Amino acid sequence: MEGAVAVPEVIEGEELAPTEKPLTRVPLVLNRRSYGWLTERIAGAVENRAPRWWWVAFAVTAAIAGFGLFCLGYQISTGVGTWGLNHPVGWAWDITNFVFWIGIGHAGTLISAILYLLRQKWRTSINRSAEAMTLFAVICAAIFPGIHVGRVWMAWYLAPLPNNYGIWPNFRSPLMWDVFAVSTYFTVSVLFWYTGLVPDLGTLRDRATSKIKKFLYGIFALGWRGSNRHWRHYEMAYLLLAGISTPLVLSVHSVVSFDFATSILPTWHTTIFPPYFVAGAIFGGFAMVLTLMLPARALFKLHDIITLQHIDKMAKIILLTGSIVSYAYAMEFFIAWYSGNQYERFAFWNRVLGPYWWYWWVGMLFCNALSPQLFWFRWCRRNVYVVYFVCMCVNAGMWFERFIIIVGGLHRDFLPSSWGLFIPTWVDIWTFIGTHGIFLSLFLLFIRFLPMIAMSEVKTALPESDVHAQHPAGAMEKEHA
Amino acid sequence: MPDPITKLTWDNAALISPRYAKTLDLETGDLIRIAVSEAASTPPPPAEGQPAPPPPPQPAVRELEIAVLVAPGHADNSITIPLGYGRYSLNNVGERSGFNGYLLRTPNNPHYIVADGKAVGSVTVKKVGRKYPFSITQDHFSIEGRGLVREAPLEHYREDPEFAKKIAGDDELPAKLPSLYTHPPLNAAQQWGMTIDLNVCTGCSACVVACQAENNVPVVGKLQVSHGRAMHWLRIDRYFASEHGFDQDKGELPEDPEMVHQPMMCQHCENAPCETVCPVNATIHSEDGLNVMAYNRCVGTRYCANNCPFKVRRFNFFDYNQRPVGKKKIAGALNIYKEYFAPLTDKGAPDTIKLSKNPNVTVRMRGVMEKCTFCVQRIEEAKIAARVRAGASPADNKIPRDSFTTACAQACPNEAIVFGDIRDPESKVSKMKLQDRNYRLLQYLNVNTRVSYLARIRNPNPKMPDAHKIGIASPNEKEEKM
Repeated sequence: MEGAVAVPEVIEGEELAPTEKPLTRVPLVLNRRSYGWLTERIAGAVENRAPRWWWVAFAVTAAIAGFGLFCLGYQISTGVGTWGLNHPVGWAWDITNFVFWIGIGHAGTLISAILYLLRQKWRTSINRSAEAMTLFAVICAAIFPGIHVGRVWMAWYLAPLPNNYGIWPNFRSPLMWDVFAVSTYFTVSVLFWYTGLVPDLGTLRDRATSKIKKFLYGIFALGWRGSNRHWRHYEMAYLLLAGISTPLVLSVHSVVSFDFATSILPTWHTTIFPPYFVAGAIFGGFAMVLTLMLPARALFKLHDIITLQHIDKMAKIILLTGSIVSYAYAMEFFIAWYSGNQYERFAFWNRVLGPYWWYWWVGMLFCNALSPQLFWFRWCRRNVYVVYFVCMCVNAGMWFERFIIIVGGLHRDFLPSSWGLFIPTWVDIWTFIGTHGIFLSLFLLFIRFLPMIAMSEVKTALPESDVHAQHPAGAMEKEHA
Repeated sequence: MPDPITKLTWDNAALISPRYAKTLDLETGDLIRIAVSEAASTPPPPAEGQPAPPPPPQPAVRELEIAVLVAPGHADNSITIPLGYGRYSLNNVGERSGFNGYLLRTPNNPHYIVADGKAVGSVTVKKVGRKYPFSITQDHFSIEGRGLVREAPLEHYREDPEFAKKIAGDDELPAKLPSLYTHPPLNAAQQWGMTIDLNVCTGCSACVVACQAENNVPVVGKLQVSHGRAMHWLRIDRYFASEHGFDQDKGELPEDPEMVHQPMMCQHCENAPCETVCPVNATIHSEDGLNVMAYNRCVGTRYCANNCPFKVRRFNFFDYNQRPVGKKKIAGALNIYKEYFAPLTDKGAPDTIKLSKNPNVTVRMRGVMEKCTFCVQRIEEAKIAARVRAGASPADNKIPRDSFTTACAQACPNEAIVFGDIRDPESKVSKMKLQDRNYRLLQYLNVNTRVSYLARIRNPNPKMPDAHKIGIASPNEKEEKM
């Protein structure tokens, strides 16, 4: 299987006759890779011995995750006061991290559900790992609303359980909606991811060499044999789940934004939050997908499957959503001025010039609004280093954006007597870093034990899978030769 | 309790004026060394009461190292040091606090030191170069042109008695603002409300102490105050107003400011923003108009406090009622933590502290939000008494008019705080609310507060040189920011 690697990577150079060109597309899988090659390459990443870098990376991320869990234990046993929260600022890094992670968890389902319904075949190279990333991000996100409360052991009060007091949760509270939105999203995402995995689990089972592997993959493959009937049910289930997930992509972050939009604080009380947050979530989510996929592509030599064309397309989505977000930023300022409301105007001046001024200039303006503008240039979209730089900017910028919205709104509201500042403690910082440890550890486990690219789906993007493929005057052969 | 003027807790400080601070190149928190030398050989001090009169000594130099607090409005070129501080241990209620001002005092010059007078030889003030951490409950003292405290000179009030209702756009609001939510009915026979007359409030803070004692408000300790976690249900906001205006963010301090006070507690909004956001229904409205807290239902999301426009809700970040207040040694070597480390710190309060609690009020645990209840325990006590009195004829179980009041109102020496039944037109609070000076805060948010304020009317003697600096805390159109 290693023998085929020496083939040149990109094949754009070949000029075609003008009559043939409009009808052909650059293929999604380069170098005319066969079904067998794909299986070998993708399943091989799971079946071969773990490379040394994997062990090193996993040890580091697991250690970080462990310390993060220790911080959680300290905070739960001692009190929310171990964080830097205070009286004007009741939420800070906790909810910032929650919104940050839940935002990252948006790209996966967008790629798998919405792009599936829109028949964007290029999604097949990235959807599996993007979905996995979604799940892990939602797990990280779900930690925060759980533990940020003062009495964690009473958090079950948020669940609508019938009880002898006859007290129900308050259905007017956006936090309540969050509970439903996030748990629904997580459940559907797990189902969707798992459903997509079934044919690949069948492949892994069939290729397994040890009994334990065979047993475990066999259990989870649910008896998949790849019969016509199986495929028919599978595709219907997948389509249905894609249909169910699609509204969730839009609703979850809208609901998260209601936490702020339905409040009365200046800068929170804004009707543009739902679309603004959804665009921001997709923006941040794609940046995180690329952040994970670019190293994975290099380490596992997946250049033929995740091509520059894929990166280019994702960069375009980042550019689009980044521009929507920038527009929303500008509109916030305009409305604050246009409203004539003293408190709104002050809050936005304070965002730019107040104690947290550099968060805005660096985070929102540079990282989120300006850096993606590089993607107007094709060269930038196809240079992995530029793409990686922009993605890291966006990752950081989206965290800053949430911090600015949350703490920026809280630290100076109506009564100047209550104004204050937020200073994070080491527990704040390490809890956040710890969630990165959890996220990356889970992702590393994922790429060791499950196929990081949907084998069965990416094969459908090969020309030989296309039953309607015409081969006009041998153009395809020529192109893929 | 925070100092009414400086809002400083736990410590005293050498108070100096902003101008004087500039000449000495000092900021709040800088340590200075004050050296006072005794008046030299001129008439030797009269008998000191010491058993052995010493031979005329070298002019003794008394020294004190003390931190500076820049207090706008202080007289220039002078230093004020409150006495009674500098203790090294406060046992269960605190830790080392303040600086011992007595070190500068001598029996023959006990109350003040006049450098150029005869009592002392010289006073030198030197910057030490180190900082001392202060815990101040209110960092921001500019009112930012917001119509929170409303006041006017007497002539202005005579011209326009309704002036207080025209500030911050209140006069432009429609009589009834729409609300998206349906609210529980406010249909009890008695409806509780409060007025606070800023005209007579001096900011003395007796109400703060009364509230703390009545409602078992925990003492949090100096470090926690500096983190912004003081638990007072009732605080006194203090603002400076200066005719020149100033931008506190740029480090500008007001010169010759006027100071205004505003007691601030839960405003018991009829459309309370905290209630709609609580996910577990822990804060709800009672039929008699109270915004009530169910502590044992609260899980502590802090969403209510975030959405409170008055920021009066208080969260118990640690188990303040269970934890020692001062810094404690934590398992020897682990003393690196300034914060509590729950599994390793002592828990539980001594009996003396337990006995100081009001048995009618819940002692709240950590992770729970709390706030002013309008002394609901007193309301309930009065209700029960009224019901007992009514006995078999339950038709007349109303609490007699103005027969009880809240702890803060009871403690107020000037009767600035009036509490009572606003449905009863004859009650004192209803009459206060009918005054033309009556106004409510943040009315544009449609929160419909049950607490209202009576604007401050000032009548300075026009011959006084700075009479024009009085009564200027209300925003005026010219100065509107931005």
